[in-house]
Amino acid sequence: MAIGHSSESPAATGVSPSRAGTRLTRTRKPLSDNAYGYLFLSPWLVGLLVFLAGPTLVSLYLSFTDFNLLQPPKWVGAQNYITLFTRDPRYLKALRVTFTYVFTAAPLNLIFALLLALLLNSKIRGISFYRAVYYVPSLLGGSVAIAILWQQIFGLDGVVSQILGFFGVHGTSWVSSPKQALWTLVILHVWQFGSAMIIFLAGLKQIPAELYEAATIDGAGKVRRFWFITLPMLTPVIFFNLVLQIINSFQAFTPAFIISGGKGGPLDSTLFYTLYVYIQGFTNFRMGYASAMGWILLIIIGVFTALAFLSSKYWVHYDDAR
Amino acid sequence: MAKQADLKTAGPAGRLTRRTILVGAGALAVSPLLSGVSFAQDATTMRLSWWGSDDRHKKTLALIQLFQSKHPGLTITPEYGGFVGYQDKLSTQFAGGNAPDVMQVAEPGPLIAAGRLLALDDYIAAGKIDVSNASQSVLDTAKVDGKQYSVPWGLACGCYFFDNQVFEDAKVDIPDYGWTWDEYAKVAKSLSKPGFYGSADIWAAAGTRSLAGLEVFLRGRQKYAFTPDGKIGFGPDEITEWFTFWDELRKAGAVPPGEVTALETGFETSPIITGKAAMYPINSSIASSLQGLTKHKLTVAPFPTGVGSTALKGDQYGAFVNSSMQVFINADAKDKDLAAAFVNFALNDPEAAKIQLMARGVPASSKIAELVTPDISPVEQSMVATVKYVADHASPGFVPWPKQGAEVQDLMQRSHQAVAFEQASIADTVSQFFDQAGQILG
Repeated sequence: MAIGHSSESPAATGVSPSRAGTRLTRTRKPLSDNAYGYLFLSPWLVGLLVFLAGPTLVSLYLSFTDFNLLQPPKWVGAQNYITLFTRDPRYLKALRVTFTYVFTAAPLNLIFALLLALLLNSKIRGISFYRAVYYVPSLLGGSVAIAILWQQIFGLDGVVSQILGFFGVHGTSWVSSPKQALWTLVILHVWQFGSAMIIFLAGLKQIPAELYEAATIDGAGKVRRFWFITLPMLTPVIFFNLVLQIINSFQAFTPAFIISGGKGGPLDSTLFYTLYVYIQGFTNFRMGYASAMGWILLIIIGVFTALAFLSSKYWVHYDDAR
Repeated sequence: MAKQADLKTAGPAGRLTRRTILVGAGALAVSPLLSGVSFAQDATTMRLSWWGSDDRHKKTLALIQLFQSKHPGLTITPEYGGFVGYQDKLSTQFAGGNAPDVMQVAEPGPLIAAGRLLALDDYIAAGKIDVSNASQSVLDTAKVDGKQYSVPWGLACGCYFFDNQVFEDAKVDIPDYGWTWDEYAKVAKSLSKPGFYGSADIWAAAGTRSLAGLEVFLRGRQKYAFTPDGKIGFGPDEITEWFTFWDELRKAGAVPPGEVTALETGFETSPIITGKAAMYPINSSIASSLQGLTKHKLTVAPFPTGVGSTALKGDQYGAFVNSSMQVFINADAKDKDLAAAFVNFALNDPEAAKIQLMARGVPASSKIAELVTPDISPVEQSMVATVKYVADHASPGFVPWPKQGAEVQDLMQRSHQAVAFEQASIADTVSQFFDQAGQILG
């Protein structure tokens, strides 16, 4: 049956002639249906080929060239990749900043989203109103306006400094201090818990109530029910959110760009990977170099996503696997 | 199957056949061509791009209206915004072959090197762009390899803005135009009190002036930021002295700590506007925009001089006049004569001058500058006097930046931050600066 899955020609799959015959008659009509299918898909397909696959391949070529956007690219072999790791301290700094961000912002975001989903999974009056309210930040969070708001909140005379000042703590400007600027961006990311929260909520609704009933009868308390029912049953959803979070937070750009005025400052403390790609490509006209960085990022994200998938068989429980 | 049949027969009027779809798709595919054709038959169009504040946007839009009224059938499409990201957008437009016809350019070096900007010498020689009333020394600052690629759309100099209210309250005299770095330090210290600083620091997060101030100091010693062959034009001694001067002021509380300076993302958020400092160094051309943001009266003075100063000592006057904005024409502009006509109009037309006033600094043509001076605000009067003082005292000589100049300025910005945030000693910062500048300049 393993071969059957690879669905090549009916003969190869060893299907009986009569069944193959019905399949052929079936496929003739769907062929024209498929044409319609492709036609309706075509905006997306053309977009994929022209705006995604094409540029991606070109950027692979450009990553081996010296290309300033305005003159034809010059082939330089692996020079861009060598320079990145041997002669560019800012690149290594960008890697450090990005990894710090991903490994704090992504898990914190998930934990926060899960906690709120648990809270909002209760049956009280007006719960859908609360859910909507808590979802709002993630509608706004990626926007320029919020990044500017953040600048105000964590600025010199911002709300945070004033509240701390009230308690006698000497306020500083969090967004413009190299030690703290990155953490304000982590907080901004955690605050955008909405979409992960909604997915968690949906996951929570899927958990059969009889499991809880049985556990309660057996004398399990709230904490045990959470650890032994909720969490294991939720692992597929956690896994899904985790993969999305890894990919998203590696590609974070807007908040750092706005809050640091496009420079990744102060002192490169918010120099996200993608921001450095942008600076090299569009500000310094080193598009070949920027392409090389883009490809390394693709590999990094690929590796971490693969790691998440590989690890998943040890901690993700699917219903059908039981 | 049944579902699909339903769909197909659902509405006889909206019956979908392969032919109708093909015809529809074909029409869709051709429609951009059709609109392209109709466009070409339309009146001429030209695209104009600039950065600036609201004040400049309003005045430039009015300028466009006036030019259009003098050229019936012409439509000028304005493209404008703030400074952050402007150059990046423009570079991308050039890369995509979709750049404006006439534009301000912040970093023209790479574009000129790639032959994307038009040399204006022929137009100037033919009198199509009249620069006879513009200062030759300023025109020379815009020359690359002996060719004139741009003309100044306004003159400016590095300057200090003073918040007069603070000076009055503290009973400190407004400094003279000829003030020295010693006097600057003294005034900055005397105006400072806890949480308030006499002067803004010399670097800003936007990075627009971290090399300009240094250049004034260097010129006092007959040096420049770069050498004519595109290397760093100064040594470790000068830059150490420079960093030390600012570090001492910072430690004395006369200029703000790093966290406060880093909050500035443009002059709109500068310490003189947020009420954190009394003096603010920047290009003089923003005078009216800056004044628009505060109720306190502002006045302008040139950068301090090193002549007769113990700190940052120099043996000649360092400040200099440059173009506040340079206006360029795309080498692939559709109608180059029309583009040149617009540039000439913006520079020399008296009616245009009455609209623009000082939106881009002092008009490059001395005749036009005189014409509009009666119409301008007090802060602009002060700016005009400052630019005139600097022009009268400036030492000759100019070395244009290499095409990586802006990248070196960003590096200078980070070096200032390393010292200000105490992430590295001045000695380490200096040696790292020369290492990395060497890499950038190749």
